[in-house]
Amino acid sequence: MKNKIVLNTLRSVSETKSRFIAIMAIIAIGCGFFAGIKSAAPDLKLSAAQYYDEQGLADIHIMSSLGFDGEDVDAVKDIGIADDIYAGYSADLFISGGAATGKIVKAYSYDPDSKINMPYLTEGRFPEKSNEIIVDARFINSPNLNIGDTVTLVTGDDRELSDILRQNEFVVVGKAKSPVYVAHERGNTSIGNGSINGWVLIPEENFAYEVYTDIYAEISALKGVDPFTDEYEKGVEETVDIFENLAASQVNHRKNAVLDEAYEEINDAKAELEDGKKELADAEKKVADGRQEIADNEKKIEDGKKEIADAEAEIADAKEQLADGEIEYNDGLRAKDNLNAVIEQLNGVIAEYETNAAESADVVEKLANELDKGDFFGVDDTLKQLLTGYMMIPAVYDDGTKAMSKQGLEQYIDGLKKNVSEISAELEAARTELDKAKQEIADGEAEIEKSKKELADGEKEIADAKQEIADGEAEITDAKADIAEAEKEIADAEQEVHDRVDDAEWYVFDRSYNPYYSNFEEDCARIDAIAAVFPIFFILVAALVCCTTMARMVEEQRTQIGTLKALGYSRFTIISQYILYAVAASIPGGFIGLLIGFNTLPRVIFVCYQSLYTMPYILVPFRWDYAVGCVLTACLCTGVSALYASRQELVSCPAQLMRPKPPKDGKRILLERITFIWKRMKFTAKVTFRNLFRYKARLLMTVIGIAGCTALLLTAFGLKNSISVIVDKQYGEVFLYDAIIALDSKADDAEYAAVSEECDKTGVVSEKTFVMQQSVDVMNAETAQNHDKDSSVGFEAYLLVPEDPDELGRFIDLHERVGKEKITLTDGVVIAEKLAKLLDVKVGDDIYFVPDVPVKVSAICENYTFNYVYMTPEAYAKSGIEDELRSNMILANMSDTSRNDEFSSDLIKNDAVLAVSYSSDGGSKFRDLVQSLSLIVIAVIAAAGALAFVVLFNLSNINITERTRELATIKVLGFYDGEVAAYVYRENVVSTLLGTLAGLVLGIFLEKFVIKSAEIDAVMFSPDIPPYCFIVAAAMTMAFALLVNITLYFKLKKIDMATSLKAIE
Amino acid sequence: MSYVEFKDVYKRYHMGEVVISASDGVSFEIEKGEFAVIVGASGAGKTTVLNMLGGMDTCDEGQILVDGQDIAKFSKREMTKYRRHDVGFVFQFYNLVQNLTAKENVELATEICSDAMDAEEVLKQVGLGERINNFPAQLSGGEQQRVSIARALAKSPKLLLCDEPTGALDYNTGKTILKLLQDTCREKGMTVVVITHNQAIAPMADRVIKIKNSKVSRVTLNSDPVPVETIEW
Repeated sequence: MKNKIVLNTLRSVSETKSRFIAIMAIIAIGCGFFAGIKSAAPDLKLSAAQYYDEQGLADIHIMSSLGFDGEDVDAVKDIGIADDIYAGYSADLFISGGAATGKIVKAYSYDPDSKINMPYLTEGRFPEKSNEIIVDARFINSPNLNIGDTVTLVTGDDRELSDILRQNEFVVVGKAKSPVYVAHERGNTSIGNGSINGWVLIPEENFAYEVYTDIYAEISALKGVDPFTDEYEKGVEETVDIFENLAASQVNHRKNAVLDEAYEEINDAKAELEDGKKELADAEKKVADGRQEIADNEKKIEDGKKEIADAEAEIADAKEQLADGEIEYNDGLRAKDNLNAVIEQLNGVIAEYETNAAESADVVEKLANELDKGDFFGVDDTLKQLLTGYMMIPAVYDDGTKAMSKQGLEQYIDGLKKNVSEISAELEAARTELDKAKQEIADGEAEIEKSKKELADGEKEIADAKQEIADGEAEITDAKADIAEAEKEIADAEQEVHDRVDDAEWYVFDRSYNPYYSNFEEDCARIDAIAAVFPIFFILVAALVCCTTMARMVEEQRTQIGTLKALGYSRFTIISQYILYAVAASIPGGFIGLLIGFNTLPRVIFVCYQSLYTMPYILVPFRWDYAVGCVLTACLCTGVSALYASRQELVSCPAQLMRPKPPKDGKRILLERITFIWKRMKFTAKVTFRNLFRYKARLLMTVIGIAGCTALLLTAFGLKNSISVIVDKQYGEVFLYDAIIALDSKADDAEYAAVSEECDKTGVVSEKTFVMQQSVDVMNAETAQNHDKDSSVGFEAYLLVPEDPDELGRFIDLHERVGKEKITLTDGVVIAEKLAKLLDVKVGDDIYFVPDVPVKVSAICENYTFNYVYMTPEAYAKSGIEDELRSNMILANMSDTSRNDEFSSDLIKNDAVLAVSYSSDGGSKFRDLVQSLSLIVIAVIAAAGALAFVVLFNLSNINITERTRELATIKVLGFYDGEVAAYVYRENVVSTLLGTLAGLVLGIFLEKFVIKSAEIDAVMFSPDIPPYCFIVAAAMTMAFALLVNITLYFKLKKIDMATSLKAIE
Repeated sequence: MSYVEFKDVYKRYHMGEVVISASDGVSFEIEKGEFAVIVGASGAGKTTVLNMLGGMDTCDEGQILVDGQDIAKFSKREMTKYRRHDVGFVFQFYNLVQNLTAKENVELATEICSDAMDAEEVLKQVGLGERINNFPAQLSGGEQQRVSIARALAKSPKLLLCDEPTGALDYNTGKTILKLLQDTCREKGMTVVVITHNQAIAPMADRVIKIKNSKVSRVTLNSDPVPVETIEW
């Protein structure tokens, strides 16, 4: 018996294929969309969790400014909470070679035996040789590297490459994604323009560091724990605490080691310095000695010179004497010659006289003359007398006298002769003496020459010596400078090592410090929030449509119900066949929808998110919990609607059921009572309105369905708009500045001034202002009162205090969102709209940074990203914040943004500059997100379209089948096909319009709700929905409705006029 | 030439491989202003004739002349136009639009017809002057059929086609309806064709066309039709 009922149900399935399929379709859409969207976030998280797990993403990453030695690593191991530990190296370097030349990479060490932070290979293989590397599969703001590229890594600054790497030329053998970098963001660095473009993985042995730079740990207790759960978070927090405790003790060990090592070097240097100093002293002494010697020598030379002068004077005297001697000698010689001549003459005279006496007078005279004339040496008067006597006396005197004269003369001559010989001997002696003196003079002169030469040599020697000493002195001066420098260097080195050691700290990072790691979770949460709203529509509409469809079916089969009843079938049996029908449609429909939903929607969303995140794959498990839930709900929906639809038929008696159901009575509608409108309406309009209100439930359902479609569309477009305009509004209307230069607040005023000057010098900064920005915890009056000292109960915000509040307007335009009224910063604080919302404060209310110190809110400004609190320096003083007001940022407007890279790299070299960031970069990151939203919008549009189509088609279909007779009649009455269609369409158009209008209103609320769910504390989505969204949403709904009407047209055409003649069933 | 003329009209339906002739060479004539009754048992083929005459169906062979036009050759659109202007249809189950008042139901027809009569006027003529604003559900069967007739008459058709107009009515009401039809025929000179299985009403007609086995078996001209009141069945 039961089998026949089942058989009948199955038959009715095949007879009413289109209806069955319609129910299946609506269930499929409802379930698919619900489950698909709902599983997107869990799927993404599951995939991420698996990805992290498979790649061994470290739970904890520890860094230290001093690095880690083996003992540190052992200490970490000894704690025993880590499953696996990898101590490795990393360095920020420039690439040279390949397409990414000039880009900055973070180079990590690679140990094939470690399983931590393994990259996910997308291409190629892992390194096998030490010169092989894996590189980032996607460089940011840079061309990618390719397998086979040879790249060289360089420091690009004053770091010594050999301190970092043993070799720096590598061949790319693989490309990969790193679980450390979940998004297209590679973090910051202190080199180059400050942002890292990619990473490379270098075999460990290439690193030349003496100590490890990083320790990564996988925590045993967190193994297999879903990283997106509180359990994980709590576990990580505990772990971080443990490591921080370890750090506190362990860092001293390393400090000491560094100090020891440093002091060893410093002491060596100091000793060396001492040696140097000693040498210097020696050298100085030598120089002094040298100087003394030179002085001595100079004195000696002076003496020598004097001696020479004396000698020369002596020689001059000697020469004079010699000359005198010569003259004397010559005189002597002449005298001798004269004497000889006298002698000869005398002899001649005598002779002649002897022989020739006659003439003797003459001769004597002649001789006398001659004698007078001649200047005879030694001829004296005696001779003359003698001679005269001899001559004058010849004849007159006797011979005797003569003889006696002769004799006297002869004696005289002999005397003369004797004289001559005497003179000759004397001359001889004088000659000898003269010659001797000459020789002596020559010798003296030679000696003087020699002395002079010696003297000259000595002088030259002294000059040389002096030069040497000057050189030596210069050397000494240099050496002194060197020593001073060395001393300073040593002092500096000492200071530095102390600074380093004093600042030394272990930094314990959990995964949330990985760039964008937490954003991923937030984004998942956002999908989840959206997922919570959208699908409910589909379920609701699906239920409504099922209900209508089942009601129609039951209505159609009332005769059959009556017959079955009459035959004695129980109510339950009869109901069961409709429930069976409903379930038979729901289960396969549900599963088809689930299969499609589970597989497509998470994938679509995954594809969207790939423009933001680098996760390599998505897992789309068939989620049985959702599946069972969905299908059960669907069955319940359809089953209950079947039950509800057949409730009336079941209580009616068989006889009643077997009679045709009287058509629904016509009734006056409310509008008719407003006669002045009704009268003016065209006949067709009247008919339309009558018909519309005839089936109120169906109208309502159509309106709900259409409204849902429109609302979804409006929400989708509105949401996209709300998010996409944030960037433009925030960076176009609120933040007018082009760049932020973050300063090290530890730097002094002079350094600040230097940065400021540097900015001016580049010529690209048109104006700038100093501001202080710091993170604060803001509370409202209530939380401030109930403040629990240990917990932070406020909302995080950035406090921004401009040095010159009057200037701020050129960099940040503070204004109200509605009305765009400008806000001037005076007393009190200006807070971001979102913060005001979070704190639930209005203008005039007090907010607190520190409990008990109220600060009045003077205005609320338009702001979208992050929460800001603006106040003047005066207000800051009253805010209760203890930190000293010290600017730590420069806001700059640029006149030429094309040179940003250059500007950054110039500026970052300055120690006082921590980072340079540009508004344009912040914007472009966000634009990626918006891009990804477009796909979600498309998915929603598709879903909304499907919804509109199914609802409108199904309901119109029911409408038409129910009114076949009426339509056939008006066909018989001679309505053209177009008129027949219009007869039905007018109702559809009106209900669509109504639905659209309702949807637009509903959409506003839905959008607000979705935005509220999707918004995070730090972001305010633009709450305004621009008019175009309304227009597009309405237009698309109309388009869907039109599409439905077009398909219905063919169905209308097929209505057989003969139906009008048939008896009512 | 007669006002309405069927000449060897064939209509065949293909039911799988079997061909069923619904009209197997039907020929008859009806003169203008005549009250004609097409009578025949169920399945004899009278509805097929009605469908073809009413422009709701086409024939496969033969000519159907109405006022000199061969409607068998009409296109779909011409056919609709024909139904719109030239044929008034009265249905067995009235086929009123439940959601429209009596007047509106009439207007439904007049709205699309250029030289239509005033709806209220027609309703008065059929004796429903008092009930023009009532919905069908508020009217009795006879009254509903009157609305139906008024709807057909309002567009001043060339031909009033009535398909078992009394089929759903009780005896007396049926009679008054038939009287209305007969009066309309007489007073307005309207050509009225009534299709019925009820042989009894044949005497009131000018012309009785009997259909049997998809063929016209006999045409009887009634030179002296009796008033409806005298007929009983």
